[in-house]
Amino acid sequence: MRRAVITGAGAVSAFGVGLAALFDGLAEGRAAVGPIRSFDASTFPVRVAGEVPIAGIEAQWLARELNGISKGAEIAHAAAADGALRDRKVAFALLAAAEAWRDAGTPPGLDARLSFAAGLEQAFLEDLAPLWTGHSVDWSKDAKAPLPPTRYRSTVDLGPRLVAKLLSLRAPFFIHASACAGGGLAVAHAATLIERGEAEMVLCGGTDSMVNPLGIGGLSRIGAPSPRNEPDACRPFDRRRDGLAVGEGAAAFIVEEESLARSRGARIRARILGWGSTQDGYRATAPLPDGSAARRAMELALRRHGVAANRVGYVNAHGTGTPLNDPAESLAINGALKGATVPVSSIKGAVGHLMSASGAIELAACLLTFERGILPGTAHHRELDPDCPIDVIGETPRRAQVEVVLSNSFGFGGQNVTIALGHPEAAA
Amino acid sequence: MIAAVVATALRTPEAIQADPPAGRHARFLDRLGLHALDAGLEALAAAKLSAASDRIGLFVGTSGLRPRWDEMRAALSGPSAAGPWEAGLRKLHPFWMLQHLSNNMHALLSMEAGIRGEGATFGGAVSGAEALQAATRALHANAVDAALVVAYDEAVAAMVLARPGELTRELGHIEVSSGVDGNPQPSADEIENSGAATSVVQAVSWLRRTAAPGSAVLLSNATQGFVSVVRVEVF
Repeated sequence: MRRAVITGAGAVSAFGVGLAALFDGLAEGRAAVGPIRSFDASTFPVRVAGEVPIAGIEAQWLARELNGISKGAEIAHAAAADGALRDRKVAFALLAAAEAWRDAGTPPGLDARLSFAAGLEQAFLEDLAPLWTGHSVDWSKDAKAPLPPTRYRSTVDLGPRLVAKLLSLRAPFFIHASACAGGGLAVAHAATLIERGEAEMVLCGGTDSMVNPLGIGGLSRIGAPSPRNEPDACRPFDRRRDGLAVGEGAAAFIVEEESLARSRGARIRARILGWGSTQDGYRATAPLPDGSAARRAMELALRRHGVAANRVGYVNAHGTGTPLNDPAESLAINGALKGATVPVSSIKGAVGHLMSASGAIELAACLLTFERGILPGTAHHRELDPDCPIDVIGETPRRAQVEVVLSNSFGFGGQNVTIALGHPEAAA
Repeated sequence: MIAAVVATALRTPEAIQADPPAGRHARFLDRLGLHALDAGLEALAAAKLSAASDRIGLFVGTSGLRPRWDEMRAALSGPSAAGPWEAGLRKLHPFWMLQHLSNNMHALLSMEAGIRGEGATFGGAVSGAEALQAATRALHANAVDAALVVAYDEAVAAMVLARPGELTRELGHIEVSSGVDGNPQPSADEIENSGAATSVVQAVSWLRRTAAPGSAVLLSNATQGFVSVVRVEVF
């Protein structure tokens, strides 16, 4: 039977560029949500975010970060010239993918596929504003100008397309647009392609940034972020929780067929033991209160390859810190694990909600458990909500050796996905 | 595993020029999204799969999450010196973000039809074919008994037409001209490129058990370059 394993990983988060920065931040129990610096948010209702600590992304800097990839400098400069780097998630995708590729040993000569989640197409208000006449847009003002490919907006596939160019991936790629479940589904899709023999290697993950005027403005209007503009804006499973913290970043993985990985001597970071996908079919803006569909996603992830629930040693929760998600997810966890006391944490208090990339960055965090024997903590969780009767790891990470972990991602509109990861030496 | 397309519902370019059915989702969906949702429900009904189920999947392909110009006006309608929030972002409709989420139609259709099985939304140029492929994989894995596949897109939105300004020069077949309120006027080609297509796909083995009628058989699908190819033959 063909099995999927992770042999490379890369991450960009509020802790900085690189998987090590994410690991170090989580292992030390730090939190990185703070005032927005990449644009002037002083007049916005939401003024804090888990922002990647890079104010402006410039071609020279990106080219240096992409070192070791032959097309790195070329892609970085071309993206800057086209205006693509105005959409921060484009650079995040390139950085995470390049790190994952290097981490996997820059596997040569393989026809890797790409399965990536990306968020909102970003509208560039600065392009549109000069065309505004006061009551309409006069497009003719721009009709003769040379229009770069990213005029007015970045397309949904812009980041993944540049990743494919960067790494010379010629196989077709898949863009996942399932909101906050997208990153998890992209990895699940990769595992499916491997298991079915449709691919030998897949570069997968997710990238997103809504830390821009339009993104923060839209989220402010919908009221999902915490109304407090404090670094502890997101307090998952805490009685005092009052909303999410916006985050940004990316994570990428090289997923490949296990025997191929072993034959080329690749380091296996984790095994993908299964995944499950369900839908609430309930409401667009609220999870199913009894958590039953989320529970089924967790159960399906275990059942796919017959992993017993009692092997699960840690759950990385979706844990948004919103009033409705956390109790429903607690019910789901208790149901799927049959009431067993299993440590649970959410990293959203530390890095914010990465939206389309959340499932990917949280899967990256799960690798910490295997590689350093550390279960990430839940930043700003201090008072357990009685409606969340689960074993929440508080602000201090725990030391533990675990065999199987589950990573939950529950998206807007009730799309749920759970990935089951196994220790590299775990039995299938 | 052989999968069969057992029901389809389409919304042609001509059909989508009519108003979509009125309903409670109009606050959250644009015109084409409403047409796609309606077509999805029609396909399910034609396949006699109207009951809520954990064993029905939903797979959607659309081009992506796109801010549309008509809503963006609010963001530009004030003095810029006050900053983007005061200048107009504060005037965005509270549902603006929801209306533009790429899986918005997916969410509302799953809710309306009670679809609780596997699901995913794909974005980009060949996302409809990717959705169909994902549906067949879910059938193959026995994760679902049936899957509703929906693909929809519009080339008539102003933000879409704006960017192909470059294509106007390079390809010469897309005319971008000023229309009502300064928005680009879609050409006939672009209207022809807008629409919604839905299919209900089931495993033939399942059909044999249930004796449900099948109209076509999906024998294989493959992706070549950036074009997905789906082979369908009469069942």
